[in-house]
Amino acid sequence: MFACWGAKLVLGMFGGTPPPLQPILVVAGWIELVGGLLIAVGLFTRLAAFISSGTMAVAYFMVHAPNGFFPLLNQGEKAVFYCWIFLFVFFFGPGRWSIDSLVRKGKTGATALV
Amino acid sequence: MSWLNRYADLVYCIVRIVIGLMFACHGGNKILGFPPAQYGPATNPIGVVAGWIELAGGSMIAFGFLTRLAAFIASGEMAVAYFLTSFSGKTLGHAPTLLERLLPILNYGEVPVLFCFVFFLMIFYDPGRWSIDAIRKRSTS
Repeated sequence: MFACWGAKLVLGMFGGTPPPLQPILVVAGWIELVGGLLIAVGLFTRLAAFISSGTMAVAYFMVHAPNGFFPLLNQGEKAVFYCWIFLFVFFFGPGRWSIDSLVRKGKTGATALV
Repeated sequence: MSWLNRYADLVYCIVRIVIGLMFACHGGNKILGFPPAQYGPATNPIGVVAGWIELAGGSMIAFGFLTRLAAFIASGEMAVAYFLTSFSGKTLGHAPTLLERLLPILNYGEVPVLFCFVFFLMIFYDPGRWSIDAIRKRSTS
């Protein structure tokens, strides 16, 4: 879902306005597209989650916070969500079904899938 | 980078509190009219039920009281909400195409999907250190 927003901004999919955009939106779009895909497949998960979380924090304070204090009114709920969930992923790690854990298993030579 | 996992419980508690409070805000708006939103208090019965689940469930999740039970009910409510409002195209005001049914970015159903899956995680994840559940467990053992 996060990658969808990147695809909307950068590739003009899902009814997004096609490029060119403001440079800051292009940067945000690439972070969302690449970061979202990396988090979904679990490759460099922690790094991607850290960067994505930071992006969403910036997005909240730049775009949504000036419109009022309550997330219901300033439409910033999604940004808050993504920000905190990715921060949790950054600390929690990628989990079992991820490329990161496949790579690690390959290194240690463990065969058991637990 | 597994040293980061030492703080996972702490961050989880913050996530639980923030998201629980945001959920309670939706209920508060539907039942009490506070905090303010574009839409006022709910008038139809299904909205009132949803509002109470959101207000009570969100508060319980934020405080960590019967967290897993509250998360289970809230997660189920959000799944229903997605299919009733977003999947059905109610948010769009016209008959949705297949793509508009399936993609939350097109049907504005992203918030219910996020609530649904985060609460789903909370059913299976320990309520965490900063919760009433943890305090109760500590005092009984």
